[in-house]
Amino acid sequence: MADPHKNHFMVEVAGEITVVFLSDARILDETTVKVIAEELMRLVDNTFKIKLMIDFSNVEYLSSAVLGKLVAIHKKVQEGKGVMKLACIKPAIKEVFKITKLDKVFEIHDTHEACMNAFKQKKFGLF
Amino acid sequence: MPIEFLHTPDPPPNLGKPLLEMELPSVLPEKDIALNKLLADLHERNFIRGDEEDMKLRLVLDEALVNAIKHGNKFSERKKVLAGLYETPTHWSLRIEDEGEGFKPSDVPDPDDPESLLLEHGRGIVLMKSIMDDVRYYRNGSCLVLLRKKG
Repeated sequence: MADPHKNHFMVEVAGEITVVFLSDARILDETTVKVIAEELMRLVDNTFKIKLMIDFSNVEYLSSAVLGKLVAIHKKVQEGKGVMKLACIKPAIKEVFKITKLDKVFEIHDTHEACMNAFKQKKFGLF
Repeated sequence: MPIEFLHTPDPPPNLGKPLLEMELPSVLPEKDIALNKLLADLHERNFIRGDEEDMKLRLVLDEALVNAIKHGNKFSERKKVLAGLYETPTHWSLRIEDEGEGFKPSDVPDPDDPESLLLEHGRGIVLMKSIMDDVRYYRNGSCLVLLRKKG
């Protein structure tokens, strides 16, 4: 497992999908939030039409600054014609998304598998 | 609908018995020290229980202290933030006060406006209001009082 002091997240590429596993249980500190956001922005910048999944399995706490940064990353992904989905958000954090109505902005899946499948489903029009 | 909260130029009323009061400089590392002290005290007094409450109060305190240091005092070394915990027989409250000029309620984004959904900031008051029983701003916004009913 990645040393959380060194890496705030791990990246795994599964076919076309870039999966980011956030490593920190508590994403609160302003500096950490900034570092994570900058590194994720770089990742999005470097991947054309990114299919980005952010896995929150390890995350127990986050601050509202994280929500703001997620919105910024989401915007950047959309600018690059990419797609971003979130997965495995713990119930207490999910409530925070709900309160701030961000559950309507982000596509959130309960499990890693469900999120992967959502990326793989090709959307065809009705014939 | 814009979020409703008390915002007045008046000073805050007497919040009851002071349980913990501290003064911190306007730098972010100090925020975590104050946050952890307040949180530990809230647990010790049984005002909050369990991991979920811990997370929520951490969010509230982080929001309140970062706002005071960043937006209120603008990281000025000469300015201090006062943080305190108080109780009455029925309520406990947190008071976070900075030396800034406060803010205008009209500057707070309306959470129901679809455009504000995509703003990077402006979720703090909505979050604090959903977690606490009341959010009140005194001295034009430079003094925040967060209330919670006991029990």
